[in-house]
Amino acid sequence: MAPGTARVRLRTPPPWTAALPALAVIGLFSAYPVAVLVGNSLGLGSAPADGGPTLEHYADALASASVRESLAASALVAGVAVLATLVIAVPVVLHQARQDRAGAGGASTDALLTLPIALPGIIIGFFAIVLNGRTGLLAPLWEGFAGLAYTLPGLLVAYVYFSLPRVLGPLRAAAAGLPHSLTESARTLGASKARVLATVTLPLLLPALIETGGTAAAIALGGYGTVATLSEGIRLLPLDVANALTTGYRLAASSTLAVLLAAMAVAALVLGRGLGRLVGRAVAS
Amino acid sequence: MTDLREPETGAPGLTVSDLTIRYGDTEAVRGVSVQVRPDETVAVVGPSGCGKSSTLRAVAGLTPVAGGAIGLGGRDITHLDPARRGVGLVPQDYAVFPHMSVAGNIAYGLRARRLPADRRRRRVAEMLELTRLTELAGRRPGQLSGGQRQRVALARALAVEPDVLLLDEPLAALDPQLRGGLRRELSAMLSSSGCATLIVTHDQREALSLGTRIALMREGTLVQFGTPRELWEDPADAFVADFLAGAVLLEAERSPDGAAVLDGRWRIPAEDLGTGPTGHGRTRLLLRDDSLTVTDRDDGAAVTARVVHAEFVGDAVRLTVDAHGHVFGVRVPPDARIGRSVSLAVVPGRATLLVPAP
Amino acid sequence: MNRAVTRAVCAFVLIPILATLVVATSVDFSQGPWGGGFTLDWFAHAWPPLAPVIVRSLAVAALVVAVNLVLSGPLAWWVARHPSPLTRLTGYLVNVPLAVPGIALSVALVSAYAALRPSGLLLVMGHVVFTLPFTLAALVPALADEELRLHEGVARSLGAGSARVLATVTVPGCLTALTQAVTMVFALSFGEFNISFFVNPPATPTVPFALFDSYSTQRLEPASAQSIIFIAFVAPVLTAIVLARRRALRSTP
Repeated sequence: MAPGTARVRLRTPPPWTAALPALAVIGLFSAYPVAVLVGNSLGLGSAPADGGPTLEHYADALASASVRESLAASALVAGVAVLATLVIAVPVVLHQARQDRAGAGGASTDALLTLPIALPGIIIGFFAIVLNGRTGLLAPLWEGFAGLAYTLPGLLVAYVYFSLPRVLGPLRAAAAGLPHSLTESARTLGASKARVLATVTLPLLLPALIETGGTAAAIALGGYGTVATLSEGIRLLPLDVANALTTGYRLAASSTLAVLLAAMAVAALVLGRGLGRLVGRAVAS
Repeated sequence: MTDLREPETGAPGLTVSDLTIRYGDTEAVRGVSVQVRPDETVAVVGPSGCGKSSTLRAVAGLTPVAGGAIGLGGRDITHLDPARRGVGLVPQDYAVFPHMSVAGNIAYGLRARRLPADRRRRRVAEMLELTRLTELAGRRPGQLSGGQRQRVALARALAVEPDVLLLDEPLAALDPQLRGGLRRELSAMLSSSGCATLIVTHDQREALSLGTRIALMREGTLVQFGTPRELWEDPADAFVADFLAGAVLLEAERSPDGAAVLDGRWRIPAEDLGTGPTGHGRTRLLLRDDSLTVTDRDDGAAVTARVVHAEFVGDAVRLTVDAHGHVFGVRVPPDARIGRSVSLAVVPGRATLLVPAP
Repeated sequence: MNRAVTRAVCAFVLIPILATLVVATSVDFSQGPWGGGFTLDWFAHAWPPLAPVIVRSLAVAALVVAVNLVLSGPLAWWVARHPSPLTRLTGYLVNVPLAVPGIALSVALVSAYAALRPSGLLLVMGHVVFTLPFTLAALVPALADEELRLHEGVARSLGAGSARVLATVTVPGCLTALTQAVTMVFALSFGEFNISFFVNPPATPTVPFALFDSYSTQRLEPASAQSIIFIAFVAPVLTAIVLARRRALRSTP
């Protein structure tokens, strides 16, 4: 008996060995570089970010008025754009859920609304220039459209475009998971459509709305391409991260800004998950 | 003639007249008429896909009506918004709001109707008592059993004092072992609520025990509508007899000394037969699985049938037999000797000859 | 009301693409839409220099898909079939590139492995770690599915060996998830710009960098033509994603 089991053990290695190649790659190309990044920001890296353990880079970054402005603008753009996206996404996913139930088409709508997820941010920035650049397509309609792409409202619209598919996907799954009989029952009990939306649909969607919002905000915060294309307008933090490296290879400064940016994104992500789960527990226990 | 076809929506209770429902090109319901008087429970029963759920959803206003009319409490509600119909719906999955307490669920319709808080609280307390949920008033639905959730949905629907209560497969979501008890409990609660009730079910036992009248549907049409006893004793056709009682209905010819069935190959003496009146025009013989027994007689009063299948069910053996192309079930004592074919005769008094009234 | 909003949102997504198409087919856009007439010349000019870049990007994307699948398949199997605190920790680790913005990761990668940049290896590995979370998110639920595991058990009880079970039950059972993962990874890699920013080999850029370069150096019309060509390449991939997802939705009532 004993030799037999030994042979079997030899032939089938423990299951975790299957994960080893992937874990090695993740360790080498994701975890370790991030550690180097943090090290650089603390002056622990190799040249030119090797000044010794210090928080000076963070102090410098936070003391800089332009960085503080970028930080605030980044938080504002990501927050407002994602909020606006959530507001317009709710009716869309409710409509899609209804279509799915009726088994009626919707494939082209589905494909069209998912398409922007494969478009890099730079193209979305370029769209803004085509429509609302100084000589944009919409400029002849109203002079306010000319150059709008480089203003805060223009940037917000671009980031709504960017966030839309990232919000619609998860929210759609949540809406599809709502039993239709709940809203039907509420209607037969005498509630108007608006009342059903306010008292049944939205409360039950709230956990998904919060979690999706957090995730989308994290992605929008890090979205570099859009603002890179529109770089002559408002400055966002990712732009500063890149600039610190492209102009004069200031590795420590760039790393510090990158860590700050990552911290904001992680905060949005964790906040969205935690809050979403908390609300979820309160909504349906 | 025109007067008869005119939809009668003025009567109290629920009146469904000549209802037609279409989904795309298919007609799910064709010309169905059903009345539910106040204080009465009508069970709509039929195999799946017969249009019974569509009928219920049309009454609730959740499915558009292609033709016909629906009246409730003297009002024409055919095209009324579901929120203004005054129906109490208990869906198959109960649809208890997961984010509200039991009391919050029951109060939902009262809040939507903007009932003053004190009257609302009183009504909720009444409903909690009726459905014996008072102790669970503060619980969330996630902490309730299936039966308790059903009672919450029932209380929520009854709280708004609907003109008709609509129950969609009320027991289907529950454990089969619990259904018997919960069926009796539901029946008691329905009769104490005193509300016109429409129940949709695919289970003939549920229909027989819960309905004061039964509407039996098949392929979108109403086959028979009457009291359980009427459907049991005088089924409109072989489908009703089979679906409701597992019985067969054979064409028969009456003669002074008895009845001839199976094209005269089987003559049953008059003294063995019970007779009943039928409202369905033709003379037919109604056989249930306890109507026949195995016999040694080999005269014209017995029929020889081929045994298709024999199944031991404890106190009896249930045979499926084929007699001249008619397949039906027969229960015989467990000690009966069964060959490839059996000779069957009527147990005196157990088979009914349905005779049209003169 | 919901339908109207949906239509409006569809228009919001579609209009910029159509507008770009209008610019790309205008002889001189500064004179307005189709100013100076309609032309396909911009496409004809844009295609020859863009073609080799597209081929390179397609090759990178294909390589990323292959490496991704080789790594994520066994990893997903382990996470799905042997859940433990360790797999949960792995889940967090895999998702780091989702939480850490691409540009930050780009700075991190180039400061850790600057020597790997010219060969393009750093670009491929950057794309691989960036796309792993998406593959895992698709494969883990598919592999954890109780019904699939039951089917595998039945196949084994019928005498099939591990390899046969994998080929005849597990892979077909995960096919929808696999299609979705592959197409998603392909599309993400093809359009990746953020992580690539500091790790892509300067001499041999991928398509997004060719576009970015045109945006800052060229006229609106040729830049539009290049953008449309890019969209024409990702649109079919995306349609495949949507179709796979719809099939998955339909097969799980």
